[in-house]
Amino acid sequence: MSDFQYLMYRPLYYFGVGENPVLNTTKSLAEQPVFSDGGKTVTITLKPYKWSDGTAVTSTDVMFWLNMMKAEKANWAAYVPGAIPDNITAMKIVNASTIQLTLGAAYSQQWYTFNELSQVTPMPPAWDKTASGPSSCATTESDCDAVYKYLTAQSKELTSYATSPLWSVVDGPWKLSEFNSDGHVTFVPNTAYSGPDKPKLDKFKEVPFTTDTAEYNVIRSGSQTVQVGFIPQQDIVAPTTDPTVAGPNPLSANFYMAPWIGFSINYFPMNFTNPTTGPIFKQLYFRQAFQHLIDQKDVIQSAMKGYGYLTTGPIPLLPKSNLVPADLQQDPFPLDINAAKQLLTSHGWTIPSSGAATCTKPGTGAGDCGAGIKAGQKLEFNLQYASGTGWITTLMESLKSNASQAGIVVNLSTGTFNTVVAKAVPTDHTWDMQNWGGGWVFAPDYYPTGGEIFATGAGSNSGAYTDATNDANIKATHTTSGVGVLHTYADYLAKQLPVFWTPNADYELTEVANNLRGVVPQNVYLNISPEDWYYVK
Amino acid sequence: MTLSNYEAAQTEPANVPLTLESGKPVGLLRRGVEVFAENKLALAGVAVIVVFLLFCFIGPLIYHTDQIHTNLLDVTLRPDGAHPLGTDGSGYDQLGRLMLGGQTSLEVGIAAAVLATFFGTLWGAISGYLGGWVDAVMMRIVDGLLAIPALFLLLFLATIVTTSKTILIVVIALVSWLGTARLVRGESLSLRVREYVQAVKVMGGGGTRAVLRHIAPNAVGTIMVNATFQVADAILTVAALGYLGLSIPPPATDWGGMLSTGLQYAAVGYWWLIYPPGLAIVLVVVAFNFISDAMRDAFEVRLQRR
Repeated sequence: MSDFQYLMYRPLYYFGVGENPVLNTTKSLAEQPVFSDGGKTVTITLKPYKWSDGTAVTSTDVMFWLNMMKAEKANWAAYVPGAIPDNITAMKIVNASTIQLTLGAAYSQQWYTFNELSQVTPMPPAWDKTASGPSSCATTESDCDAVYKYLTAQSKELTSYATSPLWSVVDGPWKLSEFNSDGHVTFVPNTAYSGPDKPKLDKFKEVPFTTDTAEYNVIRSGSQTVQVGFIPQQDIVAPTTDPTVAGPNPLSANFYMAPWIGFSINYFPMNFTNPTTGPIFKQLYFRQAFQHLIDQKDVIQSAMKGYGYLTTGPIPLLPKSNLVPADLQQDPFPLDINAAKQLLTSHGWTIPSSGAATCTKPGTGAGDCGAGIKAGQKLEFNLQYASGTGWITTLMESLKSNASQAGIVVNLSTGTFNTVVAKAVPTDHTWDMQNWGGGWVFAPDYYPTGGEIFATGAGSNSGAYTDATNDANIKATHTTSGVGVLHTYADYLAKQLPVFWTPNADYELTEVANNLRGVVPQNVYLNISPEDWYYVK
Repeated sequence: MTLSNYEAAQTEPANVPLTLESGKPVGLLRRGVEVFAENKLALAGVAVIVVFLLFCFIGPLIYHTDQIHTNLLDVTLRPDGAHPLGTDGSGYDQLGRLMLGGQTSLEVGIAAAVLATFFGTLWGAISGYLGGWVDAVMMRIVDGLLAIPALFLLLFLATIVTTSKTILIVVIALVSWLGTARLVRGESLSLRVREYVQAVKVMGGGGTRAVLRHIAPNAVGTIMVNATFQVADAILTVAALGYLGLSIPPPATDWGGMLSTGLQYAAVGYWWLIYPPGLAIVLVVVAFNFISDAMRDAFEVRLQRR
């Protein structure tokens, strides 16, 4: 979305002002939402934006999205039962620029704005149609399914993206001029764009690379065919002491370097539904033991060359904020192989001099292995990780090495990012652990309450983690304003380990051509804004 | 005369004594060895292979390194007294890793070549001996498989299974036996009409006996030369798979995987992560090719009389 959709189709609310995780009132389509009736009513007023076909962006276009969301929530990847659109009990078009939502309960204003309204992107009237002609999804929810099917069918026509009369109706600063499914995309300014941040460049191209090495070879060639790229961590010669500050830049002749910190946490999930290894993962002592084997600090210093930071729980440590509880500023589970062994041996596992530990005290007592774990069961797991990134490989090799010293056999295998992510779904009971290397970026759930990833039944809760206390804590962050409830949630979950926390690399060490401005500061939610870029002499 | 006696009397061409210009009868095998020994490049090839076998399999007994546990405090160290070839991105000693990687490359390369040669020989010999529609079907299967790009097949197979040494051997053998099958089938077609094969049939010998005792052994020259080339090809294939990140998972490694990892550091000049595995691959493959060339000279009668 951040590299493609938002350039053409602006969201109702746009988040991130440079490195600050706040609402961006300049780039949003609407004024800040107004909450009334004790937080149960939200009034949204649109700014005077226009679609590229000349029609105004209206409250009906917002309703179009919301109706579609309601009708197709089964197809909405970010859908969480009870969250938007379920928590909207009524919608009313006040006038062409104002829509009023009635909520089923009073919610935290910050959460509702940052995580619920953030998912709304008005759709143009030109899309409210089926193969047989115009439809009325914007006003009649029952019409939406046919519209959805029509739009989905149209979306499969990749070759027509740049020329389609359907997709060419945009309200963002850019429109497509060329699209290739291999990732080569060219945008040109939307001359009818009615926002304040009009593009200054006459063209903007996105170029794909299969590996970071391939990308780096191009920008270090000095050919200037790429003006904004990145340098892989392994190509940094001198490490930095602060992941937010650029150290020596090998490409300084042509580029300046800017570390890009995303509002994200890094982790890899374990599969609680695996019939063999799931019972082991359900044991908190095991999760804590395994977390003690992940050497975050040294991976950051060695493989990431200092351009990374700890993940200590469900709230990102960077950019610095008051959202992180004080005790999570440090790693609660630093590398400690002896602590891991102690946790295992005190719970009925016998660790041999080499190979996998076996459960010798099955049962559910205090010193037993735990429910569902059979006598003789071994601590052996498969872990597939995304290939192609140096520090991920180092992290996985280090983990396997450390685990082997604690009686845990980790069978590593590699796959492409897509392969690894596709496997990590709660409906697949065959995998043990999957590490795609990217954890979770808080977008469009910009307020990090974790409802999308750690709540029971959430669509992106890859390992099907479930915990009643955690669910209650998450619910509290949705209904109560202030950071207190967020700290309670984070403190509890950090130590419950719904996933294994891993070090978080800077999203990118961006290299920007020396004569290009407006790229920095970079958006904390990883949106790009080429409409703000311009050249200097 | 019994069938066994007949077979004993029908000495294979490899053991037929020849009389050379000097008038002294010389066995083909002995002559082959002499021809091989005259080839200096082949001898150099043998020496290289022996050195690498000693380096990879005996070396770790002398030069002890920990190739199991990572050491993140000592990553990408330059070569020095403690680490003659430096360390890699996970802190493994690069010289020790070269030995470990060589074990994988050589074991997988040789085993895959042997397996591919064995299966390809059987397939080709049976196909050529039986002829007719069986030959047609068997060869169309070979043609069909040859039509699929080997790299595509390798990537597909390596993606759907978790790679291990055994899996790599089987996967590489699966795409390597086809050429051998075609070669041996050609030999088999010419051998099956020879008198001694006909005689086996006349005396009541079965097809299995004819294939295993006469056709396959008489194609041994072709098979051995092909097998040696197969080793070189298999080592390159292991390297290619490793380079593409589809080799056996860490802490094991192979030269291709090491080269792939090392190339990530090309821009920062960590040469010790690139040249050693690259050089090892080149030397071993070239050595096997020299040996193959010499073996072809040694087994091919016309080439012996150069």
